[in-house]
Amino acid sequence: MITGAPITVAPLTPTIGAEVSGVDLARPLDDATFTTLRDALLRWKVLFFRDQPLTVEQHVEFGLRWGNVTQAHPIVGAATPESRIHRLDSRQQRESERRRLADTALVPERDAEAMWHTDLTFVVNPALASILRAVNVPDHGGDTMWTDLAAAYQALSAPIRELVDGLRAVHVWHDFPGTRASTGGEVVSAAIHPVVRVHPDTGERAIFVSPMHTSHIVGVTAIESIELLDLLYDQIRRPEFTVRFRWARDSIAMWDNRVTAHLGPIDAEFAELERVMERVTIQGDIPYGPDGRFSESLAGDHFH
Amino acid sequence: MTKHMLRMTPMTSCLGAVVTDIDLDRDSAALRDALDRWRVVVVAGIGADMRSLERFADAWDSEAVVDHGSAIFDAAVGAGQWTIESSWQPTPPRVVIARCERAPGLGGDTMWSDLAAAYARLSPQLQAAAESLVAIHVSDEGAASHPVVRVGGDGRSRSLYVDERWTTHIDGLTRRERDALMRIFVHQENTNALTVRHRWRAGDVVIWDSTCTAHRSLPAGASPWVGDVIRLRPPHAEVGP
Repeated sequence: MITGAPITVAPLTPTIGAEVSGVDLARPLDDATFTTLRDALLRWKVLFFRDQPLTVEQHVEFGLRWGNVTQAHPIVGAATPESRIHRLDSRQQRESERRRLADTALVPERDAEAMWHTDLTFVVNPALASILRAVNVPDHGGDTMWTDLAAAYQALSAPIRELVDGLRAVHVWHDFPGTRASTGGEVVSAAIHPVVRVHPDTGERAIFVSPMHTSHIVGVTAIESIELLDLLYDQIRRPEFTVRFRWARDSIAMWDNRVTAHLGPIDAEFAELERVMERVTIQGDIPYGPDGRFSESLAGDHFH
Repeated sequence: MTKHMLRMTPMTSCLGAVVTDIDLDRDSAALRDALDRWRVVVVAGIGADMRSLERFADAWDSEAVVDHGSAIFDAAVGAGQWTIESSWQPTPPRVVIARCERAPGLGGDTMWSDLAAAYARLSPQLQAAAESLVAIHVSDEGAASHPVVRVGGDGRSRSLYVDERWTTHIDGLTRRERDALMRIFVHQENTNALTVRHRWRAGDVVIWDSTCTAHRSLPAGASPWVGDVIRLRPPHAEVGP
């Protein structure tokens, strides 16, 4: 019998992010609880839970409540195909970044704000949602931010909304992650997505490009693609559409990956963070735009 | 007088700290040290009266200008852009103290950006170029010119000293050149890792070093920020590199 304090959902900003309390994610969720969480996720786009010391199995079980839990990651971490936990270790990421820059002058230094991304948009069916748990985090520093891509879309002027409604863009994974997606490297996975995605559950339209993986808009000139993407990137990171979360051990963030982008840890290049996170990924459907056209794969497979 | 140890919690890996359980009279010196280190200090929920804040302000040996109202954090009147407080004045305030009487509605957070860190993150070539430049800061009420790079009281520390709201021109540059450099500078200020974000509660006092921070506010929902602002103006104009 699962009883206790009623669930409370406390918004952190007017559009995105709410802290949920009164639920124990280590235990099976009854239908009423799950419906509350699902409604909250659709409304607030990112849910935060504090003090949830889940085992790996419980983390996966919670994920399974939402759909199929995928492999850890389409490309990195493929060494352990049986694992469905994607482990993010800031120290390892820092090392690989140092190696990347030491290798060649052809690679530009990355810009912290160019790391905004929606998870896995270089596959044709990017994640539906991600569930990230703090295993080991510093006392301060290491925050993550999310942005509400639907609010960002709505705040565009009408002529620009109309323009971007009809566009499609290429998203890629290069053999070295971490630079703006338009700069170099061998493409190992790529997909073409609508620039504006229609949310399958809410019908909301949302900007569906972000600097880390989007390479270019198709069917327009290079300068048009560059300028439009810069405009959209500035739009999605306007602070009024964002929420910033300070982690503690056993904090969990769950986001609707169809309508959000995120940046984290935001200070990876500035602070020598000791920060370990574990992510469970919910398999996504294939996006479509306002005209009903679906995304297509250019390289690589469906992710499941 | 011995310094009382403050209970201080850093807010980010770059700037901002929250202090609790303090006494403004007793802890004045320690609080000023905290401000030197963290640039933005949130005295959470202290609910200080204006008399104790003004006594606290006296320690800076500056002219204190007190305002009551809401405009400083009103995104609708321009505070939604990165703003160096009153930089259109020839001697802008060094320190600003804001006391929140009524917290803004959901969404009315304020952010600060660390302009020393913003300067430090520029490439050496751009740092060198910035050091030779002078910018014009303009409002309806006046205008002033300031070096693009500001040198701290210690004669060494440097910070970027341009903002989105008041900085209109850079001496000797064309419009196109100005735009290119300003985009680079504002990009630094916009780098989230160099910012801190505070959600106001009634009774909060926030103190910031305005020689090396810019602030911006987000649109408040139901109600605006209401409170008192003390701007501490130095006795004379300060200089660039």
